[in-house]
Amino acid sequence: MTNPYVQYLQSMNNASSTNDNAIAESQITSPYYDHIRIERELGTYLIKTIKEKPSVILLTGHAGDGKTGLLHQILSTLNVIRSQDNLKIKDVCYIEELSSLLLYVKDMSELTLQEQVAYLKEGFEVKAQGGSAIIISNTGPLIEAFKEYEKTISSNADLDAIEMDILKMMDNNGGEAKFVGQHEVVLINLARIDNTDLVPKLFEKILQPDLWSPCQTCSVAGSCPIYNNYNTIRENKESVITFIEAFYRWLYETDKRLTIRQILAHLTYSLTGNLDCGTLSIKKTEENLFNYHFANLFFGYIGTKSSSDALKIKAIQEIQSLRIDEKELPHNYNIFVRNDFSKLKKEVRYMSEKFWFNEMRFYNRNSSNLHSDEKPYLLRKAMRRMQVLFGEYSYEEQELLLAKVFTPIFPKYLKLREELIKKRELRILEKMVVRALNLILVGNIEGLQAEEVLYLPLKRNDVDVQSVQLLLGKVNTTEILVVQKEVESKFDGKVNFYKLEIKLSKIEESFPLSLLLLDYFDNIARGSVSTKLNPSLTHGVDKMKAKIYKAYKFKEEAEEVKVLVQTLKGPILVNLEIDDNKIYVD
Amino acid sequence: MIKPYPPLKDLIIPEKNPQTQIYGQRLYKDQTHYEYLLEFLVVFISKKSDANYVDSDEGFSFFVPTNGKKLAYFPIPRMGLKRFIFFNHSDQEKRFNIDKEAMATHRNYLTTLINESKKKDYSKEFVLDVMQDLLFGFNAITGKRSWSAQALLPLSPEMIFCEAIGNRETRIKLGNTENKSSEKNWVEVDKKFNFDQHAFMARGGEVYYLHVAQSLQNTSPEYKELITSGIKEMLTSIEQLSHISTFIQKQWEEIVDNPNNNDLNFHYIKKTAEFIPDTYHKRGEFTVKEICNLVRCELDPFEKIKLFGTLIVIQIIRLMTLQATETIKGVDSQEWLIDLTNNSKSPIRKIAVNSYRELEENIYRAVHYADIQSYIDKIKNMNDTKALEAAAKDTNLLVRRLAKSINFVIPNKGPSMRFSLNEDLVKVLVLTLIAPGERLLFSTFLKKCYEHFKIIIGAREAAYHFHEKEITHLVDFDENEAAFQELLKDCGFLRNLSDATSIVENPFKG
Repeated sequence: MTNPYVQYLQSMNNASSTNDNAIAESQITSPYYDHIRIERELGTYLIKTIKEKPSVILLTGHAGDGKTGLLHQILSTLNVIRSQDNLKIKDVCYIEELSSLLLYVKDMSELTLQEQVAYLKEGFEVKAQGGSAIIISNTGPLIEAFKEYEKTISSNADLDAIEMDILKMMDNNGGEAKFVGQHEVVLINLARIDNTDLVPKLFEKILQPDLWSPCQTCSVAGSCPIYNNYNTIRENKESVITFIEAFYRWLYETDKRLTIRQILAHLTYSLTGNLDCGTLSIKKTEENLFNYHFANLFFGYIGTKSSSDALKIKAIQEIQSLRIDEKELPHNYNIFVRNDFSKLKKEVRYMSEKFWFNEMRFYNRNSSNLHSDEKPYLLRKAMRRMQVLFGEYSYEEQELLLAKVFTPIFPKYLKLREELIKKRELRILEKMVVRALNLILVGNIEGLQAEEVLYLPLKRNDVDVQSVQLLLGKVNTTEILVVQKEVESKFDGKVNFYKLEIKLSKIEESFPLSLLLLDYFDNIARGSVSTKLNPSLTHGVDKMKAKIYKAYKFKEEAEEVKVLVQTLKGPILVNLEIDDNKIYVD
Repeated sequence: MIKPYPPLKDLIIPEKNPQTQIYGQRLYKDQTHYEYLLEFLVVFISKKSDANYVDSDEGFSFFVPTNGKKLAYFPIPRMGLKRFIFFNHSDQEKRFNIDKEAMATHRNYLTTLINESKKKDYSKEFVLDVMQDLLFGFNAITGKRSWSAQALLPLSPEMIFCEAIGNRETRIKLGNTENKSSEKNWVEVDKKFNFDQHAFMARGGEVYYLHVAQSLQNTSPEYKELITSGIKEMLTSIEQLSHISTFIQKQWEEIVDNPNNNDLNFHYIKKTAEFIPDTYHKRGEFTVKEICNLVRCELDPFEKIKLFGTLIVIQIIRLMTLQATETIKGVDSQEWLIDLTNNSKSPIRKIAVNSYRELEENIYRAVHYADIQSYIDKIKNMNDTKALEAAAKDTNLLVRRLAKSINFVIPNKGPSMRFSLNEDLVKVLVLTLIAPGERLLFSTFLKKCYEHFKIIIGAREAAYHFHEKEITHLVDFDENEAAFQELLKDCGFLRNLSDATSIVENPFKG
């Protein structure tokens, strides 16, 4: 027996040849779409925008960010279409609730430039008559169409300015109406929206019991890896979601954001392994259950082997590049040395233990090849994957796991994002930041640290030897604060979070402390010398340096020359006061 | 015959050497890339007038006389300060006794001015060493040169030195004079340098100054204000360095005690700038915009100075490129085809190598459009071969050397020379073509690179530029363009905003 829902899930990833639904249009018309789709707050926000005043809304974003889905949500909420209707390429509908027109364009990219310009023009005309327009477009065509449209209006339109206006809106993505050239638009760039918070909701939807109920009565239910995965996750939903969310959060914060479609592909593959329900046999039951276990599929493995099909999924490429299953994890000792599997969740404990003993039998008798053979190594990797997703962890152990798997500062970062932390913990972060800044700006700081001052020397970065450095200013370290700032999401009202910032009392603007920057500072403060910073962050650090130097420049007269002299015994501070014809030294 | 800028009254162009006739007076083989910047800044900060002292100007300006006279400018030599900073670090063989004594006298006098602290026991010598090391730490050009020809980074106006070349015999002779340590002799010791040899500061900075000044005359006055104040700020933000430099030179002048308050070659020297071809103004607007964007960036002072130096070299090469094809063909048609593929078999490599060869050819060929005969007639023992050989050194070979010095042309040695880009050059392009804080589509950025410098990287610009010629390799440019995109990303200037739309941004907004 088959559960058509399983097939639907499998059609959402491109890891096998059956990928009918890996494009938006066909997904939407499936009867299951209604069950698993998420009402996005952004849709509510845009409907509110339309209701407040006539607007032209432009939606851009990566393929798979949910542009079409969002449009569908808005149109069906406004009762313009029914939930299973297909969208037209372009249509003008009548919204009864507002007694006004709504023009929508499903995808500008599929149209010729003339059509694009014509629809854009029509959108503004509808707006002029009190209606609204929602236009989906890729960025390139959007900018070209806009430029072309402006040209038809005035011959001396500043086309560069139009491009810059649009790019600025896409970058800031504030959701407000702004002018591009002469026209007011609301531009939403879905590629810049953090979709990580949608993951738990999405996962929850996929796991709705009524969608899985046909499996319950299936004859091979007991030996079906898919159904087993479903059951295992139902039992351990919270802990699994914690890790999955942390993983996607990590990708987002390290500039490797996934689109919703990519996330769906990953999750659906991890659940089903694209196994064909209809031909599953009862044989090899336990081996199958282990090989196609969620913990393996999530990392792109079938049993101990990496699957080349799975590598078509972006999330799997990313998770493999992290080499999580080669790391030193909290339960390694228990499992590998003591052969104690009690730290695994009970749903996987027996299976893993049996698999391990069965496969390791040979090495128990003859341990000489234990370290040179590949098999034990691959087995250990599989056990690590199991413990990452289905280990029993105390709160501290959970933090340790994330620190080991990602980066030491990561669990702290997640906490800082979620909740206000104690003042004391912030002070510890401040100390770390100050130490890192000291090492970056001054270098050798032995002996100077006690003074609680951050010196600002004029330091060349192209030569090593600069034995005497001019001091341009100093900052009392008490003036350097790390603060948590609450960010209210415009589009997703329910997912406020805290952002970490460095604040200096003499500088009005604050400097965002992203995960990568925090990690960089943490590494430097720990004494790592070869830490390389992502180049876009280097510019951020350079700018911050420039701002600090400007604000904390010595205000005294230029006669006071303070220098830092590097001696064999460490740096010393020499103060030269130079007046007309005397030098006072101290 | 070229039209000169400024329009000098008594200028007889055909008497100049052919390369000067075409490219202006003058771009010379021995000037290092950094000395273009330094010489330009010397002209910028110095007081100026016309050669007959009719008009005058207080410095930190882009003054050029309009009365048909040459531009005169008056740098301050500050030999005492220069000696204090560089003498102990220079080649032993070039430390002459007379300067050794002058240095000792200077340092001795300075020690008498030091009031030590009661808390700490620094020796007076230590304090002087600290002052010397502090300033020497900003050295820019040292190497094998004598102390008088070394240079610092331009972190304050007092640290920008003009050229001073000591003659071996003169220095030795000065040391043998009987009353050598008398005050009067110190004046001579400082004055007996050759300030007008144009060996290192060979007028390339003057050429660049004239180009910027002319460009500013043709653009809106707000640019002049922005650039003048931007450069001034770059040079004056660190007052302590001004103060300490001034003090050291002033104390030396106390010792020298020159009775003449305004002594030529001691308190100031007089230099005159010549002319450039008027054609350079054709890229004037671009030059102005590029400088303007760069000086407005919020950058570390060292970084800004370095990038400015590189920008000047790029612009000088562009000016020569422009002048070459304008002279030969009447249009600015020579592209800079950049190879980023890093693949010796790629068709792009071949096109880029050919294109660069053509560029050098054009730059050299343009010299043949000068009035060579008049020059040969005027100069004794001069003939065609000699004149053209010298011209090659100051034209295509100069471009090659300058471009290689900033790694704009690779490889440094060996065949297959072509244009390429490294991280520093990418930074210059982004910071000069995009205003600080602004962003552009990647495609627009490519277009701007082409507009300003005729840089060709992608297929679109290639198709546009080579419209007449058959170009079969357009698709190969995609690889080149992708490599550029990757390079920009690695340098932190490019981001993907959404579906296949990349933007390039200049993040250094103040």
